[in-house]
Amino acid sequence: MDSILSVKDVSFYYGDLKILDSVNAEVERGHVFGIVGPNGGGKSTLLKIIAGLLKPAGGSVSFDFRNGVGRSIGYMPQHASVNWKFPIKVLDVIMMGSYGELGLVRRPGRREREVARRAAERMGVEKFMGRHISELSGGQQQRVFIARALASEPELLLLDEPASNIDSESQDMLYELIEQLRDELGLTIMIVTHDLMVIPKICKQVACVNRQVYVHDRPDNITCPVSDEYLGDHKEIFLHGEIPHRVVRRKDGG
Amino acid sequence: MEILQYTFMQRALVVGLLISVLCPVISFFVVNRNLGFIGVGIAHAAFGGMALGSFLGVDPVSASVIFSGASALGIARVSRSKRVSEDTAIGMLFSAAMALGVVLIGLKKDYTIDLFGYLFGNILAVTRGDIITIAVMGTVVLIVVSVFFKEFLLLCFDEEYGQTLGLPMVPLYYLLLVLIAITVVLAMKVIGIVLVSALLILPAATAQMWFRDYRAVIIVSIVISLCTVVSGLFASYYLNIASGASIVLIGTALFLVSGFFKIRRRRKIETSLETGKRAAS
Repeated sequence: MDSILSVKDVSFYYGDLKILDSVNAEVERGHVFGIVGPNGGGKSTLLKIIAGLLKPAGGSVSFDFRNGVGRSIGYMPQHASVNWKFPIKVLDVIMMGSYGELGLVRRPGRREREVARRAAERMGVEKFMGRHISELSGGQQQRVFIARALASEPELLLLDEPASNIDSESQDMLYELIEQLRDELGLTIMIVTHDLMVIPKICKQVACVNRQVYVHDRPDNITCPVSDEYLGDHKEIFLHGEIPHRVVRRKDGG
Repeated sequence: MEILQYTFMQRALVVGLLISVLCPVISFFVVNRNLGFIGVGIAHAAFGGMALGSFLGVDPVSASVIFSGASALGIARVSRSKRVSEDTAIGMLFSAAMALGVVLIGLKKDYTIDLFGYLFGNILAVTRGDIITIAVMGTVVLIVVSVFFKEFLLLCFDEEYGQTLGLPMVPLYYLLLVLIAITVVLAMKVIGIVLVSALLILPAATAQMWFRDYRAVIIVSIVISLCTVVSGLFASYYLNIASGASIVLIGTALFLVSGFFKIRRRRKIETSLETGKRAAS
């Protein structure tokens, strides 16, 4: 497998509480990697470790980027941790994506503005460039934050619940855009989601995270809770960790 | 104008103009990073530093910068460790620094410090040396802000994202606190320790009611600050009151008037929207 990311034996604690326990995963280049699991299971923590926001207690995270130097990671946090009252226009928000590559001191110029404009166009938010970020709808804001992540010209894009707090129409549009990013830019995308229906549609690999991590290469493993067999008219609840990794299937009306 | 013939008033105005440019720039970051209370803590620590400098026979301004800068870093370190909350750390330091200042001033036999002037501002106390110190150090602060401007924007808007870009957000936060500490000490002579934090909040808070782009907010903050400080100095002279108090009261009045018009405008818009809806239905 051509891996862009290898997670080896990664553990993480919040205080004494073990959040991740010896996590191993290989992420295949140029595909979408879904991360599912119950709330508090460690999905966002895993993504934050990969983004470099948290340091694991043990284990290692290594990348194999093709574009040479740098981290080449674009990150969109869950419920973007931003100061919504901050006086800033959408264009300036997107340009922030280029700050990492610029490094300290250097200021964004024409090139960064152009990269931001292209990212905005790709995410369909170019008409909002002069607006304040808080004036946009939830779906538009999410697209702005993905555009900001794209402005860092990444090879690996990390999206933490990008479809939360937005209506279903915007969700569909978002998933289409994610597929476009994969196909047209060749990005590897890791996406944390609760939307199990979308997993078989766009993901090649799926990790079920609940303290431990189970990676499934769709559709090889039919016991995976997100395989086609379990979708359709059924809903799945999957449980991991203390309880053996399995799928509880609940039929309609029963 | 008669008052401009007085050397002390000329000096006070020059210093006033200098801090009118410096304070609003810092004010923008104080307001948007919610550092108002830290600003108060730093200002009170500056008093302790000033008294310590005077007690040890070293330059009080330099001693204040070092003491308040170190206090700001201490507050940040303690609050980031999450063992003690930030407001508890500030509350403790605030009173301890003031107490230290009072004790040291009391111990000093040749008591020459104008305590009231340091606390509430005294335009008569501005010396030629003060002008040079404020001009030089103020320029240094503005240069540092300009060099790290984009990083400070990120610090105020989305610090976590800055970390994912590999930028040193924690050291940048500490740097911003040191710049606040220097600004507080520089503004101390005219505004006074007790009131200086107002000039670190009011200009940006007033401008931000009306503008939603940081460039406009900073420029309008500077204009507001210039009007406030200059009119405050004149009021101080004619009414014979402490300069810090007159500046802060004028600044607060501007904020309240601005808020009044903002609320009125919002209500007008809401009413016209409702009228439009009714007409449509």
